[in-house]
Amino acid sequence: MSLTEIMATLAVAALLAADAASFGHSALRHIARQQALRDLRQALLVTSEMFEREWRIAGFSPTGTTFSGVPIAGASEITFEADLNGDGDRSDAHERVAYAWDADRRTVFRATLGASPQPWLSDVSEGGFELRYFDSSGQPLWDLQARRQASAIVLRLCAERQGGPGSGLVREWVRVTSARRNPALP
Amino acid sequence: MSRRWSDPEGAALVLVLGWVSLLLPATLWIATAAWIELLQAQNARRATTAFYVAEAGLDRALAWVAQKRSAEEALRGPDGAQGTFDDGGVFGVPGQFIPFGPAGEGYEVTVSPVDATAVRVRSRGVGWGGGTRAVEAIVHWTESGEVSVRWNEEFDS
Repeated sequence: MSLTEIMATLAVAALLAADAASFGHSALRHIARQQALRDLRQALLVTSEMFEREWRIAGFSPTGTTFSGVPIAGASEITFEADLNGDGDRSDAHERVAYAWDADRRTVFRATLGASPQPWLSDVSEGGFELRYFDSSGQPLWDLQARRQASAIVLRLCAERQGGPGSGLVREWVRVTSARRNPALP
Repeated sequence: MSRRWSDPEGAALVLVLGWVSLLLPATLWIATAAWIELLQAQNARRATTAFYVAEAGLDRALAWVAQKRSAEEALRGPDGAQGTFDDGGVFGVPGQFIPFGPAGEGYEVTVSPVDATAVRVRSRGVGWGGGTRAVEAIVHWTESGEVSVRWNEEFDS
């Protein structure tokens, strides 16, 4: 093997090594990004399902007492009520659940009766906790009072977080439409 | 130069092994990521189908219960006679599994008393992949004969 051949081989090997390093770096960045995206998607699925369950239960009362079930129905905050243990009131644990978006902390907080609000979903985008209310004919409801009697709700959750060093932000969203199970009563 | 360096035999093996050592981790990662995504999707599918199967059972049972004039009548079961084997049932004996889908899905419904004017209708759904969820409704009869239904969902079913 001549010196020229050795030098050519080294040059090609260096190019291949550089290519491999670049490939490895990109792959690692992609892995971190996909991992973050997967975690975000899972968090959105879990939180939206939890929210949907509480929406469906709102207004439940085994004693037949009737009430709205949704005393506060805002665009980025909502409160659910139910008489879960059938004692005739809605003042026990988990019988009143409130969700509210905190813009400063980019977090949606969930509070149950008698307990301090806990972070429910973090890294929420601006306007990433959006609630829309509809009547039984599918018309959107804008009036706060009318929203308490809503027949269906659309929840839109959007969150974004760092996908790893140098890979930028990953963003994911989920949209849930759910009909009211317990009749809306004033 | 010795024969060791001048003979190119075996160079292909070294090159291929080098590339394989690069590509193998990437392939493994892709397979792992796909597997995790699949598990997530399967979990969601299990829970979702179980819920909607349970709700289908509950809706069907409520349609039957709503035709009754009292809680006591609703508890008599399909044969309408008190003290028989199907008391507390809707589609047969209480808790009888009713198939509802091609992959073993189905629901079990029971009716139990709450008080003199109300019954609890509970439906347990078995969804795709064996996932289970349960929903229930409390049905009340007022003195004027009106029926009200309040829907509930079990968190640990």
